[in-house]
Amino acid sequence: MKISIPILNLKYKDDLYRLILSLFVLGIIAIFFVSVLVIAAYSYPAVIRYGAPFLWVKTWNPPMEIFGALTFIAGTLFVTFLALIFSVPLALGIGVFLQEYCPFFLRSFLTVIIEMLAGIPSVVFGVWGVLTIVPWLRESVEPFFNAYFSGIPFLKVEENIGYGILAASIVVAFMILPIIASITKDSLSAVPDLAKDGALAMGATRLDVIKNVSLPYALSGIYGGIVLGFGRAVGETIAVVLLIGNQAIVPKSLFSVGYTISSVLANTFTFAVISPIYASAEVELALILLVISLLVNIIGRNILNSVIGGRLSRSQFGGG
Amino acid sequence: MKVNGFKKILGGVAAMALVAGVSFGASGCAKSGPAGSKTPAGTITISGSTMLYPLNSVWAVKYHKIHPDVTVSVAGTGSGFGISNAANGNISIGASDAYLTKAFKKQYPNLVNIPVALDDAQVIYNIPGIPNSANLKMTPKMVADIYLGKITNWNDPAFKKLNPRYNFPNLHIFVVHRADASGTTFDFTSLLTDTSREWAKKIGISLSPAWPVGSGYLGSDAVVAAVKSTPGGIGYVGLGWVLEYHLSSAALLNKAGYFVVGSVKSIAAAGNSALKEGNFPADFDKSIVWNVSAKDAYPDSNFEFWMVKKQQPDAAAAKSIKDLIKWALGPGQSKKYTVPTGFAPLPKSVMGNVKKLLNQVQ
Repeated sequence: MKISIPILNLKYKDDLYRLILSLFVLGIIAIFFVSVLVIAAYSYPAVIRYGAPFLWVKTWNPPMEIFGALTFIAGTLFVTFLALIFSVPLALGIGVFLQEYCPFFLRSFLTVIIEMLAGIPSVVFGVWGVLTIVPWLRESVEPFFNAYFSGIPFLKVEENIGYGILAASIVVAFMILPIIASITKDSLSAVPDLAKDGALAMGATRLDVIKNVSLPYALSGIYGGIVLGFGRAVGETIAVVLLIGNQAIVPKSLFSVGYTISSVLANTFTFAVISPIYASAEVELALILLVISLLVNIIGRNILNSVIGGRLSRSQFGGG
Repeated sequence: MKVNGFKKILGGVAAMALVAGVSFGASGCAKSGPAGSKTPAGTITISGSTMLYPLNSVWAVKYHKIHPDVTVSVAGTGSGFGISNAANGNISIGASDAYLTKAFKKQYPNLVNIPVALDDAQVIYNIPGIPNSANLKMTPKMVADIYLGKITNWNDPAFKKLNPRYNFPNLHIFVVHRADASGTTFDFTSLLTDTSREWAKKIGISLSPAWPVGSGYLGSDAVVAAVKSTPGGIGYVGLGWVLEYHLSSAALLNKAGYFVVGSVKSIAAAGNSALKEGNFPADFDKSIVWNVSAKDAYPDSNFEFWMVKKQQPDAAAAKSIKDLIKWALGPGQSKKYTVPTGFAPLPKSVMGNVKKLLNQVQ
């Protein structure tokens, strides 16, 4: 004897499932817009009071209620781009090696190592930076640059202390390295063998295949990895707080101290709530951080779309 | 034991609620009332000043021993955090090295600052070749010039002139300050403001001023580490830190013309002198910096405060907080608690005014 219960009806279950999934999706859209709205609402008083000059005024003086974000924006961009410059070439090399050259028995081992590296909490990276990178910069790198490159403005050692933009960038570079490397490897592994075999059959060398077939094919995936790395670097807080020197100036040199948006928020936001306009100015900093990451995502995507002609939209990584 | 563990968990939950409260406080529209977090009965939370943290911790342990039904949980989060969260009702007591300034009082009329001990801000340094015991002589004006970026090298003749016995290296001065909102910074900038016209005009007194030079570190511990690890470093911390880490600290010029090293004795001398001179405000909203005439007074001393809400949520909460404060002001002042952690007990002569402040808490 068979009992028919409506909820077990396959069609009905399917609809229910679809409904639940749709709610989840609505949830993520809501989270995005609510966060943006809240940040925008809280920063509104500062936006009104300080207007556009907030972006290019250098002074940040809470007791006198003079607020300009330039030093923090400059510090954030400095650290982020330096970290990308350090890590992207390295990460691409690691990704290509793992996928194309690595002996099979080593590959899974190295992959696990890289994934573990990506999982290390950032404060551990920060502590490691204070213990190793800072003394190394102070005792070896900075004296060297001071002796041989002191004439070049961007390489001038202003204070031989180890802390600063460079220390922060190096450690952030290590933090985003595994992200970009593992995504590069995954994107390369998604290149169809048929395309590679075809090129090899035409007499291409292994290097030719990597350069002309694999890398172009995997480009949007790699790009996705770089954007993820950018996202982590631009918002990285605690490791930067420990290393950058927390001084609100526009860095003039690789070895300057500086300040980033996320680190000034971490250092002072619990106190800033004491004054509504101070708090609002700090929330506006958070808004700027949000806008920077959104802009990089959108602009980056558009550039890539025009380079590779719309393939991005059809691909699996949202790129891939 | 089990009950204790449970209370700790509750404390943790309260701390989380506190974080939520902080984010709500940002608008300034959450004007009054404890933001969601009710402290569990029998638990008193103290958070704020890292300078006062060691003494708070000693007191908390001792008080719990005497009153097993009351747990005092203590955290060091910076004076700024202590003031703002005591005002929002997220914590029972906010620890602060800074008194309530006019601006704070206007923003939070419901808070009262109750002095609980005396401490100081000391100038620490790391100069290769100069022994720890030297206690280099410096004037507050020189310190201001260093922090303004006008004196940048240890071979500046000003140092040699005051300390002819020592040889100063040609070494860049690495200026260290706090990155978070700090009561130690408040006390330190109070001295610089009193003694340097340029500092007063450009920077002023603040928990987080716009530093013209140097680099910032999170908490007194990080300041100590940065100065100790960097030749040429200069920074400022409270007496407790100097004692615990055997730091080189400067003897600062006081108004009477003497160079005085910060110690429990010289801080107490400053406190007593300030009070004797008669014009010290009854609600303690003044630093004991330059305007103290005793010969042996350390010129950058300060009262340490507990920030408490005048209107407690109910009579029971008011009673338990007042009991703790009365204990801290009475038996808690004993030298066996205050001196080893680097604090001087409150002078007896202020107790009348302190009790008046305490009576405002209901």
